[in-house]
Amino acid sequence: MDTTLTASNISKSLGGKTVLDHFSLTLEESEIIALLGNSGCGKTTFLRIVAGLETPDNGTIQISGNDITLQAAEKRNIGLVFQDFALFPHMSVKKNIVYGLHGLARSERKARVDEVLQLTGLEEVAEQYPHQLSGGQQQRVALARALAPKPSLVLLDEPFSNLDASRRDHLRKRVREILKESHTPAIIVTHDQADADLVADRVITMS
Amino acid sequence: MRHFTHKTFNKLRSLPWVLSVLVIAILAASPLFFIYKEVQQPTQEMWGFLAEEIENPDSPTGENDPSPLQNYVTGSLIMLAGVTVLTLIIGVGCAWLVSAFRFRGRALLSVLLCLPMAIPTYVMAVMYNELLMTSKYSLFIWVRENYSPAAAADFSIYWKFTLAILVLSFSFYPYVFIAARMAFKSQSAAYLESSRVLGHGLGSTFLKISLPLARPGIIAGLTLTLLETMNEFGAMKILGIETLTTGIFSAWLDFDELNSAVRISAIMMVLIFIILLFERLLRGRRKYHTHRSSASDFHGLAPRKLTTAFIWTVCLGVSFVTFILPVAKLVQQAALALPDRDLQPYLDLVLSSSWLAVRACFVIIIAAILLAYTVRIIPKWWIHLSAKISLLGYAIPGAILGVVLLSVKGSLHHSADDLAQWIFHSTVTGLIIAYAIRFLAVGYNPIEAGFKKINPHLDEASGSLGKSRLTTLFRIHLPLLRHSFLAAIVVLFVDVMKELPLTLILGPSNNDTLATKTYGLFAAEERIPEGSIPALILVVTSLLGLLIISTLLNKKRS
Repeated sequence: MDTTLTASNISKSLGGKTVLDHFSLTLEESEIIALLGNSGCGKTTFLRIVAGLETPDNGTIQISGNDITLQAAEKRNIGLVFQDFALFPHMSVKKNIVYGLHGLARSERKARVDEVLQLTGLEEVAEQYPHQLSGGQQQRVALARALAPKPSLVLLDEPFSNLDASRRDHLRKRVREILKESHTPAIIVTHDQADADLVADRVITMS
Repeated sequence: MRHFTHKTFNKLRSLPWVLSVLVIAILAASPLFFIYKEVQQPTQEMWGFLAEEIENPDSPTGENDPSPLQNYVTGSLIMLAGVTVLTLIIGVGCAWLVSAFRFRGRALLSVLLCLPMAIPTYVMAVMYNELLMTSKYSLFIWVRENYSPAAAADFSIYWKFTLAILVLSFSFYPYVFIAARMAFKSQSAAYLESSRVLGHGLGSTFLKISLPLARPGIIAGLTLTLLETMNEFGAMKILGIETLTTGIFSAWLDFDELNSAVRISAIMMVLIFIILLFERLLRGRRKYHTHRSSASDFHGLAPRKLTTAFIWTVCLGVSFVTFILPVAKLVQQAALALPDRDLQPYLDLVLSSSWLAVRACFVIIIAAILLAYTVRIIPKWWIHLSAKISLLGYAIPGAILGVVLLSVKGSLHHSADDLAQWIFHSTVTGLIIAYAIRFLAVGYNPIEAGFKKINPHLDEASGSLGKSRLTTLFRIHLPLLRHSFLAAIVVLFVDVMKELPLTLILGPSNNDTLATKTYGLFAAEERIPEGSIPALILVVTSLLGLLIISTLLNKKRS
């Protein structure tokens, strides 16, 4: 298997406190990793560094062998699902998904949106607005939006913490299915052992 | 406990609160009723002249020249359009720059960009007239010699409208800037980061995410700007622009026809209702629900050196032309007049203007507390509606309120001469009533916001301890609201001190304020250096006010 992501010796301190100290990780093609740890252990910071929203003090990030450590977030083509999903409230589900497809021709864009809507089972709510959706649907829209531009990998920050506890197991399975079906490697950051067990192929515990 | 306190809220106890709210609402709405009634009256002599197109035998197309009234409407519309475009560009542009990036001196620039609010528009107009006098003259000569005298006449018109739009935009863009800055600041960082991760650069994120999300706030700021533009009298007069407001003044002063002035007011109110309607429509119905869980406020990106230099150049440039340059000119002009001036009259003027403003503030604050507290203790729809109506005055231009009260005075003279004398001549009661109608919203908004932050359980706790609602207001609410009061009083004080059209119309003739004195020296007598002294006092007073407000806001945050 080929390596998608190689993070080597990442260090970062925020406000004088060391959050990450020479942290390394590799992600194989189509693999799902869970980063498990308590809050404050630097797992979200690591996610933001991979996405390009923070710059590490030390270390390098490579995607398929290319060094992207200093590349701008908008150039990386990495999907990111926020803990609160951050769906654009003034856009319909469809518009949210199209948002990341601005490089494509119109017909390709439409085909890709339909494909992703079908993959995530959101065809029926495509014209609705985020506030009209349930938490689980919002999560799938966020995932669909992240997957639409065919990213080299997807990062999910505590994806289940904002959802109804009774539905979590079902949603965990759905997310795993969608990721596997689209052959997208992913890193899931979580503090919940169950997330790690049910979604990930491999678990890395951070402290 | 809850049940018990509700039971004791009997109707009789509510009566004084309800009555006071109704009285305020009726008082605030009466100008509109009066305009409606007055328009039903037969027209006066000069109305025909105002409303009729003027025959022009020299016109090549055989068309008539527009009537004075058409000119007023055109003038107002041009000003509204120009000010809309320019305040949006300056206000939103600067707000985005200081919100999107995190750099040294950002707080300083944000404050600098608010300061033009301290310069009354009529002062800004005179200073720019002075600054650009020679350039205008040489351009005029150049156009006349290279084209034709007709082209030079056209040039004069273009020049004065351009200058007027610039002057008003320089004075009013802070309303848009502050509104947009707040809106950008409160946007969740997650939206902007999502947009970037999805491959959109800063510019595209601004246009597609930040701007649409900030729209309600920006529209609110723009509406304030447009209402101020409609209200504007001094700068328009000084720059020679004819608008509906100057039309009201000339119908009253040149033709001595109050009914014609009220008719122009009616046209103006229609225009204002259209503006308010547009605000409703453009704000949008959807209330965006902002996620707040992990998402923090957006603090800005770290810019590159070149970007920082660009931001500083733009913002300092804006601050230079809208604040530093006119104030420098003002100081220079005042310095010309200062040496051979006896300062005692100015000191008296400061004292009398402040005393007037203090009394107006007192009345307005009392009314605002009554309204806000009644809305709190009697949360019925008709109380809410009455409160809304009471605040209408902020949309009614000073000139309109002025002529309406003059007409009221006219009818009082027939029936109750002594009362009219007392209200309008021997005292400033009439003027203070007018200020109260016009500025009630300014005092109400911070106080209402303060009330909203007080937990309703406090009211119930106090009630259950046997305290009346009046006692609860004095012992519980007012002490908790002291910051809101201070904010309301300072803004009101500055607004009343700067107010021109109402004070010109209703001020007793022997009772100049800093504003009317400045305007009189600038406009009627063209004594710019002498007028610059009271103008400078006004600017300094307003700057102090802004300083107090920003300290208060900072304190609240920490």
